[in-house]
Amino acid sequence: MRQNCVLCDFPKLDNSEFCELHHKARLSLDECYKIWFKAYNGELTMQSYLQEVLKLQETGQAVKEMATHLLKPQSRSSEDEDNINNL
Amino acid sequence: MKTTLIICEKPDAALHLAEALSESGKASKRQKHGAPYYEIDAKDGRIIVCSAVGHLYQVDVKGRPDRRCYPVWDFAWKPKYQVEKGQRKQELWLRAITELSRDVDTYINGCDYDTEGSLIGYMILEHACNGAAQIAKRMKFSTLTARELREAYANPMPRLDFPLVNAGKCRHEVDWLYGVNLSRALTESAYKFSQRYSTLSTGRVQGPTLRFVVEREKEISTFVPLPYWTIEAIVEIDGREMAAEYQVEKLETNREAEQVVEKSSGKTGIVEDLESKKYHLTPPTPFDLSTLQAEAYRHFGFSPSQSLGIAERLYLDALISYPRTSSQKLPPTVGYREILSDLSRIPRYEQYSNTLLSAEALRPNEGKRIDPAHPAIYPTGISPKRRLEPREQKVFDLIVKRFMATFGSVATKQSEKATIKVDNQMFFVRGSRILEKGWIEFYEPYSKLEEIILPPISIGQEATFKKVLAEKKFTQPPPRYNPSSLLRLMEEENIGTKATRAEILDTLYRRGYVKGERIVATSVAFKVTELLLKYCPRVIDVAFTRELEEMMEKIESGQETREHVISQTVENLKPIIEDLKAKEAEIGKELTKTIKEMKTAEITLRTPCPQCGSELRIIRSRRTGKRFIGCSGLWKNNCRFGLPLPQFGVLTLLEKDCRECGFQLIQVKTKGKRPMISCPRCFQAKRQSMISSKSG
Repeated sequence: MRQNCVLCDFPKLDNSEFCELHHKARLSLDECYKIWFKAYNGELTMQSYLQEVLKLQETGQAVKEMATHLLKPQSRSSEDEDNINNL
Repeated sequence: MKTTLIICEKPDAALHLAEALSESGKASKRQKHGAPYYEIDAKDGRIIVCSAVGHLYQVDVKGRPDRRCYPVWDFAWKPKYQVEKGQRKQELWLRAITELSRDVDTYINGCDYDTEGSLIGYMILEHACNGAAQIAKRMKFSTLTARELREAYANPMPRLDFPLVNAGKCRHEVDWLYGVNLSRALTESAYKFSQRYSTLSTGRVQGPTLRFVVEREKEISTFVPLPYWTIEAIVEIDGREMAAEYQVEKLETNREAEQVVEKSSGKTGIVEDLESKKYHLTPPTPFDLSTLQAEAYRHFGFSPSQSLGIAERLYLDALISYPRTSSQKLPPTVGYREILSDLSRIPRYEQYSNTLLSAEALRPNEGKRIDPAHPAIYPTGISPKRRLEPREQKVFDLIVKRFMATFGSVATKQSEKATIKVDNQMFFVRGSRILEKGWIEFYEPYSKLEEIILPPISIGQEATFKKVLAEKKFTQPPPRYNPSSLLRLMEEENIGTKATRAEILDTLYRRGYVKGERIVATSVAFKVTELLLKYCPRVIDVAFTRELEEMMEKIESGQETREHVISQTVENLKPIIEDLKAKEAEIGKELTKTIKEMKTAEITLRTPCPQCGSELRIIRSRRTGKRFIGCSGLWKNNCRFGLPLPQFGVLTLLEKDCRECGFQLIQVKTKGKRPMISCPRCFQAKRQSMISSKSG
């Protein structure tokens, strides 16, 4: 049976738990964190970054949904935690 | 006595033609079955001028139609009154033309000279005038001025323009095949699953256009803003303060920005260099339809279809040339001097026309685009005979000024830049002045040049940095399309035609696929596009649509045949539609859910109930049939909060809130009237205070 994205009713991608849109939002968030991290002189945690992104009106809707999802402690995978620690 | 029958596209055009051909300039108007026509006794015999009212024939299913059946591949051209309900007027109109066409010696198609006009005239001559299309002649004109109409009548083309007719027929047939099969596949899938009827549509051009909007929506939805810093500085030179900009426009890190502020704030720099550059601004090109639509949107906020409608009315009043043109060329045969001299009789254009007329030679700055049928849009020079409506006046003024501006000289500006060095950092102070206004003088207020005059500055002078601030900013998501930019994109991608693009945008709004001036794709748009991408990606593939468009264009030049394009279309569509039909249940399930959600969203207000905090909804009373705002907490909280709503027009919930009370605003649209925006809560409060003051 085909499964839906954990954040909406669209079908999830084969290699992800998200639909195409939310998967893209997730990739954008990851990619942009590197730029934000550098912009704030290496003094920005993933959590603060997500909170900042959520406050901005320019942030896309799918990104906001993804950021909210990632901020819930239970939704962060161990891989996410590793990423945060590595940066 | 010889009799000539001329078919025009619209009644107003028939009147202009009749007046132009009658020696007295007054044609006698007659009526047959309610359809007006004109009879003129000319030197070479009797002339009858009658008209269509747009298309009187259209493509439909061959034989007896079944509105819900698909796929359908066999089609026929039928009188519109047989296909659509409530077209009695068209039936009488056609009967009148048939009766007028008896005992006629010469038939002329006098419809607008383009694909649609050629097709309208052909269909009437072929089907309502006993096959007269085979012997009919064709008039070719670009304005409804008496001079041009007389010339077109005196020198008609000996035969109808059959390549244009075939191209027009083919376009309608291909669009019908796509539209009817795909739209029925979507609508029927949703209906069979939910047993509720919602009109869903897509088409050869509509699908790819919607995809543009959906793709942009995805870009916006997945956008993450990036921080950057700009430096804002105020410097004082010789007692005068002015804004200065830092050598780097955007700084990527907070640290860099702080360093710039630290190094320059309160310091005194030296003017190191002075530069001045002259640059030229060439006059604009004459209007083709899409640039007119873009300018009318930019300056007046008119949608492309509104601008086209207004331009067509101006054309029918013989005030401007034919607006459905792709040309940016103005050949000398349009008579530049005559037009300007006529325009000089209109007081507001007198001065500008005379300035241009005093020039030795007049040469417009033509653009690259060409249209074999018509020149660019230009004013005929005729003064309006009736009082133009404000919107017509605006478009007319824009066209006249654009026409004049194309003959203007190059505008020249001088930019000035002073470079200030402070602690090895560069700042710039910029100014600009107009040296030669040129064409801009003719195009004001639609083009403006702003000046920033700098005081005298010399190298080595001191400049004190009074204020230096680092401002944090964020990158912006790509802009949403507006009707004008989406139309331009369709044109760039070569999908649709100048005659159909504006209508396709209207359909997207009507179907609920998009909303707002800054076009937002709705959830149904996402779902329809997703389904089409999944089950029939070719249908919304821009390259495929463009390929088909090019094939149809080739029919006009005789390089392709209508029959071949149609057989290719059927061959391409057949497997797609059969596949869609086989997956009706799956598609219907997905569509129904989205439609339901969208319909609920359409009637649910953002503002919560002020009494119990539950959702407010637009409700229609089963007892009275009236609509009102009611609280969804009625059963749960026994909340009886309610607000009245207007009972007329199409009601939409707006994104904006009332400035007075913060309640969500509503908009009511009635055909032919301006939309009414209102706050239901304030309306109720005012109504209650009026009632209490009356009773008091």
